[in-house]
Amino acid sequence: MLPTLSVPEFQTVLPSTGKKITFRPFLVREEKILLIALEDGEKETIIKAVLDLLRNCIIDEIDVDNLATFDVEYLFMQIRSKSVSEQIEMMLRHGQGDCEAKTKVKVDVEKIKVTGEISDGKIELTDKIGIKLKYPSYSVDKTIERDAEHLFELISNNVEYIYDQENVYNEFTKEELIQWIDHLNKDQFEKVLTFFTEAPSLRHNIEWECKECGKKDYAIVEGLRDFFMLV
Amino acid sequence: MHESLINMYQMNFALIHHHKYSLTELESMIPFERDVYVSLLKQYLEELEEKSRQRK
Repeated sequence: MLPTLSVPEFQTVLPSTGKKITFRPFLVREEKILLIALEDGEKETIIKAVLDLLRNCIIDEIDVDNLATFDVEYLFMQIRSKSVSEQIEMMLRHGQGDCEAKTKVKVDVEKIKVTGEISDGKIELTDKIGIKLKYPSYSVDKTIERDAEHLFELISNNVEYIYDQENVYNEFTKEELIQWIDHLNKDQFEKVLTFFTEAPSLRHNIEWECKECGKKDYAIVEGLRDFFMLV
Repeated sequence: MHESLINMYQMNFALIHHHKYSLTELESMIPFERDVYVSLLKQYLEELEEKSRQRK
């Protein structure tokens, strides 16, 4: 006999592709794994906990390891909204100034959206040569910092192929690729870099008014760690 | 996080030892469901306490 389905299923749309995704809410035992990861506090532990959770809760066949970072963050918040609440309550305090009061602020999860233009990743470097990039994923780029030192690694990890008028080149070693990137001129390199620096992200501006002094303030929530803290 | 790890263990312990839930039942719930049960239980205990106070 087939197992009985005991949890409801929901649908959402994957921001990068527009594809419909079916998922179930997470359970208390899965929430416990998230809480343990939060206690640990290590970036890699948090990423692993979130990716494992997506693998468990997404019902459709989907390669979670290759999802763009903003897709992961978006799906995580969607699953959270159906598991815990569609509203997030948080206590906010002014970042600066003398007022120490904390104000309870409610954020509607449905209003948290991916911001920025989603590109197909094809960049024309000359009239004849182009490159196809993909957005970074947490599983591949989890340990890579977004600083100048690691830019080459970040770019080389996310090249799908290079093309010219006649061929598509998708078989190359990492060394060959890094050498190829190294030969790009400044403008070409900037074009490639812009794809990553202007990549979409899940970002939410929270505007709130202090219950004590009445002053308006704002906070920005961005990145997996921020959203993870909200769960 | 809407709750902490220590809170979760304390709440599970109380529900198992005082209110006949099993760990398997609790861990198979969706978090909002468990919150609903805890909230209903709290309401029920408050009503019992109120009735007991009125009897005195």
